[in-house]
Amino acid sequence: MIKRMMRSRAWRKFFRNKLALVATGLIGVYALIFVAIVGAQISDAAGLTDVGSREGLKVRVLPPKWPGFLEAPDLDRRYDSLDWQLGNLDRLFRKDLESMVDPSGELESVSLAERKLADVPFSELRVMLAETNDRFEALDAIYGELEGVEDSIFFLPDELAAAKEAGDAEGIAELEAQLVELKEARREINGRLDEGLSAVEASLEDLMPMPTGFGGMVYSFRTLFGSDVLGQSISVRAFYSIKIAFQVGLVVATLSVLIGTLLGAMAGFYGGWIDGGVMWLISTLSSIPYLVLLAVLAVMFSGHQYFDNSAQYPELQLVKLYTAMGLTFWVGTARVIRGEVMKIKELEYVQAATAIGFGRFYIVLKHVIPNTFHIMFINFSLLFIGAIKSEVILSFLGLGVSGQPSWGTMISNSKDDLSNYFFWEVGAASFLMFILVLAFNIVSDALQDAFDPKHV
Amino acid sequence: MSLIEVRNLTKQFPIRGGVLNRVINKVHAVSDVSFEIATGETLGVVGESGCGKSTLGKTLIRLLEPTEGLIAYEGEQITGLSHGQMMPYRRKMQIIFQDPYSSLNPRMTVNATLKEAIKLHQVLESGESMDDYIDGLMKQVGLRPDDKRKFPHEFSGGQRQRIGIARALCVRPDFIVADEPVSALDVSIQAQVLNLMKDLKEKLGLTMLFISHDLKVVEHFCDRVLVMYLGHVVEEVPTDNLDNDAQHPYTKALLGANPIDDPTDRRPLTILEGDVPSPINPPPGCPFAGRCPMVVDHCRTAMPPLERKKSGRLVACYEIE
Repeated sequence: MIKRMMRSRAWRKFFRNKLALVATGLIGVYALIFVAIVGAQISDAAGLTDVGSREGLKVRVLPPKWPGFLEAPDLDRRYDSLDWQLGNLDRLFRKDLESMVDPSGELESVSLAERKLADVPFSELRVMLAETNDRFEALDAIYGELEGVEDSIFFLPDELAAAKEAGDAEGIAELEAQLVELKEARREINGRLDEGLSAVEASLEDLMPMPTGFGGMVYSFRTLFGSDVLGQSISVRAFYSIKIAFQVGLVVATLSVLIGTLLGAMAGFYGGWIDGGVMWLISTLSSIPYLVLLAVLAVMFSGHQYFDNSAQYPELQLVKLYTAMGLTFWVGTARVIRGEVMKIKELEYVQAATAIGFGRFYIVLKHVIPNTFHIMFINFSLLFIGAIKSEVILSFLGLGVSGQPSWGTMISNSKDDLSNYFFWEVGAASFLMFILVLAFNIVSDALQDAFDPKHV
Repeated sequence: MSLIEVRNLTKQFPIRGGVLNRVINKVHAVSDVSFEIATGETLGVVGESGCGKSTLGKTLIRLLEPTEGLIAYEGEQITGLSHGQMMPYRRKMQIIFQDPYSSLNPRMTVNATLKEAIKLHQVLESGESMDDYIDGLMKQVGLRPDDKRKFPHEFSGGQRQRIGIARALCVRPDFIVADEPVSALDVSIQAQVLNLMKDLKEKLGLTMLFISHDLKVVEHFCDRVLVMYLGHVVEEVPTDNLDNDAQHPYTKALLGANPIDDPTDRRPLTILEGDVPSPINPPPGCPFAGRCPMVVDHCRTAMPPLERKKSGRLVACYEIE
């Protein structure tokens, strides 16, 4: 039966639309990620696996605010990064490892975002670490030099201005020559610093080689978009946010379409006071901005044992989102379905069903509602992105989820860093959301085209 | 004995408006119609668009509630029955619709459509299998039994109309209202479907109310014909010799407007002037008075009753003796 339906004219038209197919594929990828995350969480909860997906989000993979692919980090960032990594290693090695007979087990557990210690004896490792530390400390001297030069460059413009005011032509020429010299010196020192940093990076690479194979893929995925203010992987968090987005989209769209279809069909078919009541409800609810409703619900649930940021049941903090959106989003669907049902109930096959003797409720369920499936379909895909966008906005405002990654919280966390040209967190969250919303828009457009009776 | 008996049937549709949504006017669709249909007889109803033919048919099987009047089936009154009380009559009275494109649920296969009705009324006799019964029905209406797995959009208009007929027949009815069953079809298909209906009618001994605006079709198909004008029955004629028997000026005008199938044959053309009055505010007298060539003053004040004239025909006209 489903196979037959898929062969119908509307579906054939939908499948001819190449762009819509690509968009459907993209949505499929998102859906797979969603299913994988939910599956991992369920199997974790059932005690079958220990993926620890929530803990994995908090692993510090890089120094804070490390840029993602394409952008080369500047010298300061590289210095900070080495400082951070060597500090971590020092802390690990300062443990009482020397007294151990065989510290290899302990060393096995040393890792920094999939990077493990090189497979060499402990004594050698210590030597290598000491060498790396020495090289790193040697950089301090270069930094001292650089600081002196920078100070001079910083104060030169003031002296130059003073000389110009005094009209001291000789002094001006001398100072300008000095400035050129200093800039040359700075360039030279920066070159040496670059070399020095590269050398330390290289010996750190020996100490903790870049993973290869699958581990390498995981490492490059984790560092793809860089790290946030806590050094956590942006890409992992951005992809994990798909779960929250899809969850909200699915629940809200399903709820709204179900409520909207039932109430809309009842109003359209029975008319009279039922229609009056539903229309009153529709106009009342559409006059309430859902943001206000959500704020009220957030206040209602605040401090609640389960519904307010409960660490034990993190899913329950979404209940207030579902309630607010579910209560307000069904209105549009109900209105469209009502109109369609008013049209369908005058059709002859509905009259034929009456003539055969079916009850009105049966006719609504069996003959009327199935013929509004295309509207339900289109509305579902529109509500799905509507709900996702709302969730992002609400999380951005602090009314949505907290304590778990969502595109909204990511954008809100890093909005201040944008002025420092750190766009990776905002960029990654917006990009993933943009692709999803665009794909859904294309699909719902194609659905509308395929099912619109005027175009069929 | 008459199977269907209709007495003073009136159907008005309210027009609501204003702030309080009160009834501000009424559409007089069917006014004071009485007739009988004998068992096995086919009664035709003709008239132009909007004269209340379809409303009459739908009211007869209670798809619409009559405003006034009585309908009796085998002497039992069926007006005012509840849904449950109506069920046995629902099985006995069925309808075939005009538009084959909107009369079948596009989401249901032919099989599902038929099965649903057969199950509701439990028409299968013991030992009879559903599949065999549906296959038999399909063959009866001239479709292949395999076609029952198809959806309506896979059929042509004529085939859909055959499915519509099968749906009406599947509950083994005695009485069928055929609401312009062929007017949406091509002429070549019309003949096929009409012949099919005629065959079935004779084979199954059906009683029919056949609604049409085509006098030739009615002449071919029916025993008697009611001519309607703006909700009123103006004449009742047997179809044996329609051209000569017609007495009412409107029936004559209808017959005159029918093309004759002989290009050499000429006859005086009578073209009616003016328009049909609005059914919202019908004139007090005879609705045809404004266009009637035989009109007298009396016609404009009171509706002539449908009464038996000297010729033995029922005609609603003052000028006919």
